[in-house]
Amino acid sequence: MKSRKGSNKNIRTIRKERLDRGARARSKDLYVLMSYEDIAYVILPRVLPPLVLLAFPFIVRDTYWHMVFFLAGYYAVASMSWDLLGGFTGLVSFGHSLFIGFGGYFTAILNVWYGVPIWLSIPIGTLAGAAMGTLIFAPCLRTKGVYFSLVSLVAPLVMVGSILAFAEITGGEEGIYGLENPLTELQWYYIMAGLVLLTFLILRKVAYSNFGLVLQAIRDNEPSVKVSGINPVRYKVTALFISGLFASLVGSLQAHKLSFVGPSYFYLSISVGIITMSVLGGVATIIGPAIGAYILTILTEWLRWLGGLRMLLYGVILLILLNFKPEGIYRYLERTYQTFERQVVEE
Amino acid sequence: MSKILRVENVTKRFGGIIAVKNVSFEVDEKEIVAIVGPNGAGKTTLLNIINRFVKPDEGRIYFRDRDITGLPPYKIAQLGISRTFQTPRPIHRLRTVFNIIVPLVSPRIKRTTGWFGDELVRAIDILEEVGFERDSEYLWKPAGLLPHGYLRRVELARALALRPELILLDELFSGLSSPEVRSIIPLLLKLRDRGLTLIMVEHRVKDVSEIADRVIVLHKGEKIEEGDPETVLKSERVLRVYLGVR
Repeated sequence: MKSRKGSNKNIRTIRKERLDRGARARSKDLYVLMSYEDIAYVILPRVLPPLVLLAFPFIVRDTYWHMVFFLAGYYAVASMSWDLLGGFTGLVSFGHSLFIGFGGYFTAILNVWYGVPIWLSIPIGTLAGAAMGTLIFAPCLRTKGVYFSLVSLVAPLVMVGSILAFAEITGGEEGIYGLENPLTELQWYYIMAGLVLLTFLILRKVAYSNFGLVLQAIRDNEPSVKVSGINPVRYKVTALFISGLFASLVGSLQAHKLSFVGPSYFYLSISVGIITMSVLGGVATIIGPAIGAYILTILTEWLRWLGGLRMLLYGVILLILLNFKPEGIYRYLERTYQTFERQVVEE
Repeated sequence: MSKILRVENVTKRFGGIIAVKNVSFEVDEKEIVAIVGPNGAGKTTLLNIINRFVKPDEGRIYFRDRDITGLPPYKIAQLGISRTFQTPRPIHRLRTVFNIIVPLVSPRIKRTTGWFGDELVRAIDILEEVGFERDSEYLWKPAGLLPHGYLRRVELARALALRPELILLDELFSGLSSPEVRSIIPLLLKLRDRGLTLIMVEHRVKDVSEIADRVIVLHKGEKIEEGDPETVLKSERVLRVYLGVR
């Protein structure tokens, strides 16, 4: 075997090399590493982004940007969890903020009304939020495609109404104030950064496991899954719950960080933001939505001076992307990166 | 011999059209039964009723003397009835091997082989059985890119992966060239020898006359003839339906 750079002559073998890398997720990692360059090629894209994320507070010391990155992380985790539903299972939810809101509210009620300490209110609030959201979405699973999206769109709106109706428990329009917040901005930054990395690792593991395979099968061809002796509803509900856990956890963290929850947690703009970020980054890739979340959140801050025009700009960006790069930023980057791949020519 | 499947007086109407009209038949264990009939005879509907994609208006279906009429499709599959589709329906975006892993995840397989089997190896084994080469490139291609003939085999592999006792084959031969059909027939006979029961739906009696033990002819939803292939081929009613002989 000998290696060559930048040659396109032997298309057959090049394709084989690609395939091996594509199959990596399911098989043992098999790479032919012959130089430091090769090692860097494989390792850098996996190591560099987390390092940058962890070193960021030392590069930029402005607390304001730490807060921005916390928000970006918030959206990154939420959109990655959305991707498991929308990208892998085909349940395009327009109401993912339902989980965020439930997580936030349960945590707030536990912490403020019942005095549960922060280290308990977050896990319990998260679990309760995910369970409650799953309970509300589960009946909609019988509907398919657009109908699920429509029902999911309405669910958080209904919740906003219910919050106003049960003002004694939920604080109504004003929400609940005074959640415990013992941490500094920097600590919150690291909690969120860690959560982003953890969410990515866990969700990728889930998405590329046999469980994730079945989810993709349900997305592409539900009858064939039924014929294979698998109950699709059960898988969908599990996917909903797993996805909900992360979104709910994010809401719960946000509630403690801001010491506040309100109906704004359920707002449509959050759900739409999550979808926009996912589409921008690339659906059904897990990492793509996170990339989209960071790009869009940072862009929002940079373009603050544009005011309301930003929304217009997003619309334009989204339109351009959907037309010219419908696969999303991540797939595009991945393909561009792969053109630098060392090509192995078999003899 | 014990009956593996009993279909009793099944009727299905779609609006004003009667797709299947009072059809009853029984299938013995290790038997290859072919259901033939012209277009619109209700063959596929009959299969859909057996695995409960379609709810029958009347009639009952028994699998090993157990009433399965009311069970959902995935439960029926878990009992050991698997099927292929008339138009191959792979999971397009998944690689071919991963297509076969989906049934290997089902509770039916988990019960028999334990939870921690190597599904990938088993999937490749099954694909090899239906005629793929072990190191074939096709195994790692997205299933949607495979040629039609291969898709039929993927369908069959998916059905076999469930370790079924009864397979419903919906027009397995349609769209295949005769060499391809020739190469599949020994495979089906091998399956029968292994103890599987096959119900095949086909257009033409000739295609199945070689392997079917019994042929059931449907016409406009009604069973008009039943028997071994030679008798059916000679039957006057069948000739009338197919050739329009009066």
